[in-house]
Amino acid sequence: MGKLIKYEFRKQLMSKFVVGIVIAVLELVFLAGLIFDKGDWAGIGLGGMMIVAMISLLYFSFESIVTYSNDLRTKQSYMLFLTPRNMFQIVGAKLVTTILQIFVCGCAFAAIGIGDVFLVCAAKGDVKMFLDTVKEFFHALTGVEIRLVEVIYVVVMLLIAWLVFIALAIFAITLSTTLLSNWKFKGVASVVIYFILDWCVTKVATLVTPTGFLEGEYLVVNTEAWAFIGVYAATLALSYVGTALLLDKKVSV
Amino acid sequence: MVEAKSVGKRYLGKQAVKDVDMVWEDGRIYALLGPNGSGKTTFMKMVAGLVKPTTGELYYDGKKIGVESKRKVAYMSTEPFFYSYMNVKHVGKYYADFFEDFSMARYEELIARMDLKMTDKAKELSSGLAAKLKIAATLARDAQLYMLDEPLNGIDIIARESIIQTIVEAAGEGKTIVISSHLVDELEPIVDSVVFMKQGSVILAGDAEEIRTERGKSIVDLYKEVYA
Repeated sequence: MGKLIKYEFRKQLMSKFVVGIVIAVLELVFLAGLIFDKGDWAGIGLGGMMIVAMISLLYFSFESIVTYSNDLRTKQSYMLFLTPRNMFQIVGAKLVTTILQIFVCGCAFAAIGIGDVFLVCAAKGDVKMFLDTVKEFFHALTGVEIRLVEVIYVVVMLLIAWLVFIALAIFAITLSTTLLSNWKFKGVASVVIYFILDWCVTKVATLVTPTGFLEGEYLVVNTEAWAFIGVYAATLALSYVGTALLLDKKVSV
Repeated sequence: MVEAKSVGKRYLGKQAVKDVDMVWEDGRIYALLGPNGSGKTTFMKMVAGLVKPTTGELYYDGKKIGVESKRKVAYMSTEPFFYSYMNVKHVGKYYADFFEDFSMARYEELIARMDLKMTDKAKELSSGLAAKLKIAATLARDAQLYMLDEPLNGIDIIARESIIQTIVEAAGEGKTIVISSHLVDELEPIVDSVVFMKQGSVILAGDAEEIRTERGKSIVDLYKEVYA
């Protein structure tokens, strides 16, 4: 599967290259602001990087979906589907590539951001004060002490919800390609199928968590909270298996 | 080697291939003949594992078409299909990464013979050079079955002879080659068997020499008669 991942990543490399250049320019603006003591330059650089980072992570997710759509829609599909690899490997490589690139890019953005914040603090000689401010900020924001289990739950939930979004979209594209192979509007159909599937998943998740897992505004990590994640994890698994089986048995490119 | 039993493919409102029974034997060169829309490409794609039959069964070496057959079957489509970022060298590396029977040395030799350079961008090649690149990548594999869909499309009359020579060279011991083309006169001297397709069905198939003897005319003349 490593080689499939390598080429999945290569197909989507150009966007990372462009984002890298934009981030590099903004970092230079930020550093120039720091060196020449121009607060507005530093602010533009740092703020710009935050916006670019958020938009990029969203874009990379959509790019994975568009790349898959192109792999089914265009003649480039032959490159992928002529290879002697089973469909579980092909779909798996796409999901793993998506996870890896978001993880790597997310870490890179975080590292740059943390590095820049420390540079500011070092330049102003006040690292401790900055860290105290961050702690106070989170405390003021949540109003409660943050427990590790809640942090883990939120991270797992966000990760699975995001993966389900991509896996469901891929499944919807595969379904529309299977059912409407020669239809001009199968792209629109896949969007409709996605929203129907998403509605169904949300409905099931609501049904298995009848009392909910919020106390007022706060999250409580109870059995229902894990059942909620279970529904999304099952959706992820079913989307993956369903996509691979459809590709193996039905889809013509 | 390849056996089709009542194979059909239906798209929305269109029957592309209809009830095809066919056997391709080892070590022969086949010409798959017919006008546009006769089902040649769809049938080849089914053998390559790109298109799934709606009806019937399709086997390669006694097993259903799948991952194992893709290891042994080299298919060249008529359309360009390389990723847009690729140059000639990238194409070779890609094939080397996925096909154990691919020879980089053979690929480099074919690329040189076809006046291509490793640094040429695949998407910027003229139609003739793009066709040569597809042929080089396909024939650099030591496959058991080669299927070439319109390999002479876009190639000038001078280069055609050398392409046909290269294809014949690939037909070593036990190898099967299936070529679809409209240029029947260029194929006739090299093919052992012919398959005529029309509106998704096989209308005539057999040994080329036997057909010539039985019908008292060349394959080219027969082609004109059948499709006129």
